[in-house]
Amino acid sequence: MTSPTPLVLDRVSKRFAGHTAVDQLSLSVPTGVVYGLLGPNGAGKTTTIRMIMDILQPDDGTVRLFGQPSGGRAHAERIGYLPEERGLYRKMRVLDVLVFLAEMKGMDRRQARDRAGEWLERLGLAQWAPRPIDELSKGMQQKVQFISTILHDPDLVVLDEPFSGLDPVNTQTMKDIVLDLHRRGKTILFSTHIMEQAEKLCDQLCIIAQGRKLVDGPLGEIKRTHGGHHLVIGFDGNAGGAARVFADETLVNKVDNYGQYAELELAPGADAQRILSELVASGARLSRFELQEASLHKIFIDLVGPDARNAEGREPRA
Amino acid sequence: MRRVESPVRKIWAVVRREFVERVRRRWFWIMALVGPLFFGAVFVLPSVLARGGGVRQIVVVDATAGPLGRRITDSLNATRAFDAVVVRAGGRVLDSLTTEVEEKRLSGFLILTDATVDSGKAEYRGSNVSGLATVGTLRRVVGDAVSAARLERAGVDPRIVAEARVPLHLATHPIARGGATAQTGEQSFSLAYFMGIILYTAILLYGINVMSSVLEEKTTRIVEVLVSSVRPFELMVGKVVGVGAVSILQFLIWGVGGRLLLARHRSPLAGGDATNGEEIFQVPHVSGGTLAIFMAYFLGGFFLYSAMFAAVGAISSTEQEARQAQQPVAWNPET
Repeated sequence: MTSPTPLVLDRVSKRFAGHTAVDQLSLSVPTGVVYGLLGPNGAGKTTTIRMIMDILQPDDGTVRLFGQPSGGRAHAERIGYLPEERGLYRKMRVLDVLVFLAEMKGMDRRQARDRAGEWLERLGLAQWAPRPIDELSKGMQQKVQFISTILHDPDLVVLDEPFSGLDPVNTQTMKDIVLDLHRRGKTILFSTHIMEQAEKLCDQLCIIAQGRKLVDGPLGEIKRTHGGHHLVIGFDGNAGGAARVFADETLVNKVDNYGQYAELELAPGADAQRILSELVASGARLSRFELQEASLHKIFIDLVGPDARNAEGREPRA
Repeated sequence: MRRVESPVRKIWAVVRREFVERVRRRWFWIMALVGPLFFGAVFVLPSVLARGGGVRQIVVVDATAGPLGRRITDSLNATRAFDAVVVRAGGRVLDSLTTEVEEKRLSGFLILTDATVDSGKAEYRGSNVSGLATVGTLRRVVGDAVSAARLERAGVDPRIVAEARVPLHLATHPIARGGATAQTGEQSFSLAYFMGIILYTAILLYGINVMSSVLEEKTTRIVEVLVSSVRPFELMVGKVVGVGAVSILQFLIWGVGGRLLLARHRSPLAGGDATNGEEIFQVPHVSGGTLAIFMAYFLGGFFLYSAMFAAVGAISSTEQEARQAQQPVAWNPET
């Protein structure tokens, strides 16, 4: 017997004072995948996650977790949740916070204490266990919060912008843990607007903008379907009549021509070999001719448009 | 992995967190030590202020034709609150006495004239005329003497007057379990007054604690993780019970501490008009029934008000906002 799909959203909507934050969103997160919920700022990612976690109630549609039509609270012991806006009890001791939050997830107190000790050791925070949270640096606090998310060994881990505000070292630590969870068969849903991270980590993804789904499915399939074909061409001193070839709309959809280097997006149905032969015929001397898949970044920009550019302008490069 | 899914366990975890975190804080122990001093001050200070200090040196200026001045002086000295002497009125007596008062060598002087017996008018001039007990004693002594003088003037035998002036000591004792207890009415009133102050202060103090706790979880954003794991009602129950348990522990510390102190120092606290040897305040006996009623009132009031304070915390985003929003609850006339 196969286990039920960890998460299914069926035409879920949420409105706030006349503004529709999430509009008829449907998606399905299969067992054992890393699933990316991508979108620019204000796309509705956090609202969607809050509905999944039972913090907000959908106005329409249903959230099904592990085959049951109920939000995250009913399955708290099977779900780990890292919210976008993080925080811990500032005056509480690190170990006590972890044990308390694990108890909120239904974990036995003694076991929580043992496991918290192991995780603190693993992330180099063991000596901080008896210290109050407000004595920790921001990065250390983020690690503690991340431990609290996965301490009870959840089957589904929901991470809202997990890498925001982290330095490169901590980002790598978190990524390693996410990949480790993935290897252990856990299902991971994470939201981000940083495409490089999503491209490296996700098996499947859903891109949303203005509360609506634009595309979802396995990463490779999305790249094949929406990425088109891209050509990278290098010239060996002489571009010949390349400009005339690039202007042919039956062959080229879009071009970034830098003189000795050009990036082309092929027109639908265009054959790269024909471009090669026409360039050679035009007298161009080529040093590079390479067919490439579009990056997720490019697909995201093309799909989402100005909203995405706005988001990309703020993001750090992973 | 062993998992416990009962909501009661989660509520218990919240109760424990609220309790342990508060009891661990330095402020809890400061309050445990300073609280009784505060309540004691609130309770004892008014009677100390009403008494107005030690023995007062006064002069009775007698301008009457009869022995009224001497009698009043004797009666005042008998109260032991006054050290009184009588002088005959005349010359620049009042001026010199005024100087004596200004130079703090005298507390004041009482002026008696024939009009005192006729119309009941007398005058006291002093450096401090706000001591309720002092003024009350003066009024009683002068009133008694004037009554006696009038009766004598009407032909009543002075011996009969003296017998008629035997002071009345009305003992008031509440009845409990089919009989009168040893507790006086004043003690019962003191107990009710004391418990009322403790109830009001504790409910307010710990209600505000619940509000701060709600606000802390909102401002630190941890509430998002909590409400994704536990129902908001369960969270509030845990919070209210946990903070309530802290306040009960506080009462226990005060109660046990007070008992130990009283066991060591058995002498009663004297107060009020102690000048005539009356003991108007003694630490009253607190029965189990009274304690049960006190706890019932405390718990009822605490649950009601902490829920209201929790609501204030829930609708506020900052400490400043909460401080303003709590005022209608804190100053609710029902409090």
